[in-house]
Amino acid sequence: MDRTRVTAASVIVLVMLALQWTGWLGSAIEPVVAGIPIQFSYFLAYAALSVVALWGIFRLVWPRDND
Amino acid sequence: MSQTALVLVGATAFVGLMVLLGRAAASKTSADAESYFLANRGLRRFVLFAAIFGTNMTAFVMLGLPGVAYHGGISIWLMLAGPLLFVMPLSFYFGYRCWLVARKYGYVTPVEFYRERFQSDGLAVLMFLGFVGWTIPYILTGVIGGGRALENFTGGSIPYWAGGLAVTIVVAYYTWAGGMKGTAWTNTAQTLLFMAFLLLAVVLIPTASGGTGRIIETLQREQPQLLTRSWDGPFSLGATISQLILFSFIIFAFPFVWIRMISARSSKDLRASGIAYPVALVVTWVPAILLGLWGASLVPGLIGAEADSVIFLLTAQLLPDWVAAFGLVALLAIVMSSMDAQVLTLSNMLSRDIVGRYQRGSTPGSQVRWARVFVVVLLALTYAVSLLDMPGIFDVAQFAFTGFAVFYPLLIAGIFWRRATKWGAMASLVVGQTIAITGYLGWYPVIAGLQPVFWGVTIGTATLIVVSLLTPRQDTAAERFHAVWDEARGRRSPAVSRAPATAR
Repeated sequence: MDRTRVTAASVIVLVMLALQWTGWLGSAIEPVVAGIPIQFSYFLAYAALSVVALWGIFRLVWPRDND
Repeated sequence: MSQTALVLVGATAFVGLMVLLGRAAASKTSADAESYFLANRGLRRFVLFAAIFGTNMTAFVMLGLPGVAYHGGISIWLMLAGPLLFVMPLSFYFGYRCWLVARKYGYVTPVEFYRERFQSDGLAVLMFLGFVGWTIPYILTGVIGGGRALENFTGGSIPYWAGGLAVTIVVAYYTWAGGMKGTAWTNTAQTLLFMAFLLLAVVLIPTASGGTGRIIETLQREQPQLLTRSWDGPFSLGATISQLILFSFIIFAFPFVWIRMISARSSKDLRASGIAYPVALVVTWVPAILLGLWGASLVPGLIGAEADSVIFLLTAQLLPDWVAAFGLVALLAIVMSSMDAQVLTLSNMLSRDIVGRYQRGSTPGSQVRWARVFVVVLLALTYAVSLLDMPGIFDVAQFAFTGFAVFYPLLIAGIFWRRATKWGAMASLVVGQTIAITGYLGWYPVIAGLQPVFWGVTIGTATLIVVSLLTPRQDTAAERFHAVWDEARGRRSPAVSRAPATAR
C-alpha cells in the first residue's frame, strides 16, 4: 500500500514535469487570445493543474492524522 | 493634495500599521524561546501562509521581474513557471517532515536540526557560516531598496539615508518586540498590500491605455520577439535546466522560510499553504510580468536597469496619484516582508547555535535577550554598510540563490536517506559552495549554458552519495529521526529510539 502510494505520487510528479516542458510548442510568434499570448495562458492553466496535482500528491504521501 | 504629500501620507499610515501590529504581537509574546522564536509553534491558516509567502517574495518581484519582461518578453514566465508553480511547493512536504521532528525534540533552527541529525558540530558551523554569508546581502538590498524607493517617490524630499534609516528602524522595532509573531502578523498585512497593488495595477493600466488588445497589437507589430519563447542567451536550454534546479526547492533551503514552516500549528495548515502556493504566485508574478511586457509598448525606449521601475513609471503616467502612493506602500511592504524574517532568523541562529551552544549557563530566556540584541545590532550594521557605495551588492544578492541551492543535497538527504553521513554532508557542502563561489567569480567557463548551480547541485549530490557510502554509518542518529517519520506513517521503526531532546 505504501509503495503504491509513493509510485502514484511519483507518476503525478513525472507527468507535471513533462507538462512544464514547452519546447514542443515551438518558438513561433504567439497567437493572442483575449490579449494574452497562448503559451502564457498555458501556464495559467498549468497553475490550476498544479493545485490539483499538489493536493493529490500530498493526499497520497502526507499522513492526515498527526495534527 | 500633491503626489509627494500623498506618498508621505501613505508611507506614514503604513509605518503606523506596522508599529501597531508589532506592539500587539509583543503583548502576546513572552520571553521564552518557543514564544519569541516560533510564536509557540502556533502559526495558523492565512497567517502561516503569508509568513512563508511574504518572506519569499522580495523587491525583485516588483522591480527586477518587470524589467526582465520589458526586455525579454514572455520567455521569463515560460522558463520559470513550471518550477515555481509545481516543483517548489513540493518543499512543503519536506517542511512537514522537519516540522514533525522539530516539534518532538524542540528544535528551533535548521542548523540545530541537522547538527542533531548528523551528530556533528563541524557540519553545524559550516551550515551556519553558509546561511549567514548568503543572507546578509539580502538584508542589505532590502535597506538599500527601501531607501531608494522613498527618495525616488518623494522627489528627494526624503533623502536616501533617511529612507533607509526609516525602513531599518520600523523593521527593527516590530522584529525586536514581537519576534516571530510580530513578523508573521506584519507579513500578513504586507502580503495583502503588495498583492492588492499588483492586481489593481494590472486591471487599471490597460483600462487607462486602450485595453490589452491594443497593447498587444502594438507589440506584435513593433516588438514581436517579446511574444516568442526565446531559446537563446538567458533563456537557452542550459539556462532553463539550471533555473529548474535553482528554483526547485529554494524555499526549503532558505533558513528564514524553514523556520516558518516548523512554526506551523498543524500539518494541515502547512499542507494547505503548499496547495495554495501556485495561486499566490500567479497573483503576484503574472501581473508583474504582464506590466513589464505592456510597458515595452506603452513606455518604449527604456535602457537596461531603467526598465526595473517600469511598473511605477506606468502608474505615474496613467493612473491617479493615490495609486502611485499605494505603489510605494506596496514596495515597502514587499521589501520589509523579507527583511524582517531574514534578520529574525539570523538572530535566532546566532543566539541558539552560537551563544546557546557554546556559552556556559545559557538558558532559553537569555537566548531571547541575546536574539533581541542581535536584531538591533545586525540591522544597525546593515544600515551602516548600506550607506557605503557598493555597486555589486545586488548581483551578490541575486547570486545568493545559488549559494542556498547547493545546500539541497544535504538538506534533502538528511530527511530521506538513512545512509547519509556527516562526512558526506560536509563534503557535499564544501564542494557545492566552492563550485558556486568560483562560478560566480568566473573561474571556469559556462558550458552549454549550464550555470554554476547545475554543477554545484549535481556534483554536490554525487559527492554526498559517494562519501557517505565510503564512511561509517550513523544508524543511531538517523534512526532517532526516521522513527518519528515512521511513526507518523503508522509504521514501526526497526530500532525506535526515544532519546530526549538535546537542544537547549
